[in-house]
Amino acid sequence: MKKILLLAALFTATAAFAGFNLGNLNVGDTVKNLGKVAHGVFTGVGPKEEQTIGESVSVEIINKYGGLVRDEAITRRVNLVGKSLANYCDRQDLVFRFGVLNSPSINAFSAPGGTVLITKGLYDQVQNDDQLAGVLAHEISHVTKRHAISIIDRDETFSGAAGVASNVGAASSKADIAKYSKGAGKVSTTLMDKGLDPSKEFEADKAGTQLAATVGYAADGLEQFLKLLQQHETGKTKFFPTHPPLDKRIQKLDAEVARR
Amino acid sequence: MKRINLIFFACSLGALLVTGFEAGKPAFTKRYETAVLKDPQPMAESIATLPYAAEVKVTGLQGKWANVSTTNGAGWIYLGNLAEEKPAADHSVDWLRASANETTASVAARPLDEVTKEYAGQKGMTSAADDLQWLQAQSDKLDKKTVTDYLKASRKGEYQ
Repeated sequence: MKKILLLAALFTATAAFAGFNLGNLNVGDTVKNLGKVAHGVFTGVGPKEEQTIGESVSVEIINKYGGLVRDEAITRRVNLVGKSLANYCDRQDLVFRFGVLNSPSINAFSAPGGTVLITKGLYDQVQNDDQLAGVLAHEISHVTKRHAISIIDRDETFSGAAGVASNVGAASSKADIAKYSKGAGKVSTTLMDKGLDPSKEFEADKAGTQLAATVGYAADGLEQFLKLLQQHETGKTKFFPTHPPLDKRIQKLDAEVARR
Repeated sequence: MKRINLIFFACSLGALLVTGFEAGKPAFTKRYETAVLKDPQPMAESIATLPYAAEVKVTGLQGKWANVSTTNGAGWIYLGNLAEEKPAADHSVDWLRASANETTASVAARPLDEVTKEYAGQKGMTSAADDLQWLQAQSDKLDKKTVTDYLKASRKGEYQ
């Protein structure tokens, strides 16, 4: 009992320090959850924080890439294929949404929390749903494997108590907004300027290929599309600029597909 | 008989190559509730319902279905409903339950987070925030039933 009280006191202090609104907090649940914190189950960014940061990251991407293509038919097609894949992905706690950016460049992004954005240039180049599924499954895999959000996972501002706060509610104070803005800025810069670590891109290629194949799309959909792009790539034109070189991706995908 | 064994072997090999699941290894449920079916087909009788992150033992593979043994007996689960690794975040359960119970209307009606609005306002990106709100509304028009109908019509997922 002493241990529980001590943990409760510790949590209250931690939550207060983190600036979360405790108004709707269920004390019983909190003490139970606190035990999980103590045992290390709650680490990193929780689903609510991930969604909140993801929304801001999505806004950054949409702003930089010319806004969204507000075409209902295109958006419906991309969402049907995307949601078919997301229906079987490893993170059923997220709501995935898929949109098309009004940019002629060829690129794709996934924000934490489940918003996947592809450019109109990419959408116009895909020849069939298998290729589209290959691209979307790659982006879904980045989210399920928490590639982008892990950039701030180890940030002390979001660790431990942030996981508990996911059960409490949305951020409310100025301190929260500043904290979330900092996180969103960090993730946006990585996604749009630097790109993720190449090992994470290759991991998403592999996991995406597996997801697409399991759902019933061609296992080589992504590889087909990358090969198509490769034919048009020149020294001046680079597709998927925030991703590893096409030839390296194709080489690894070829081995993966051949293994199947 | 030999032919049936050969077909079963070929299907098992196919499943192994498509995914990393293997007979003899554990797998984990990833939905809030997962039905264990009597036969490897989506409309088969349900013999048990497993909670989130339940461990099952894969005893065999047929196409994209895993034969699993559970404490309630043996049955079939579509591979897309299983994870090779145990879902890590236990705190997802509450969130998952809330998402599962949420109606499409309530999801569609949800505005952008206050933090997002504030963030967009501070950075002069309100137009992009409007676009995101539009996307969420469009995307959420496709409810679970619409997606399931699409899966059935296009013979995807467990309807292959």
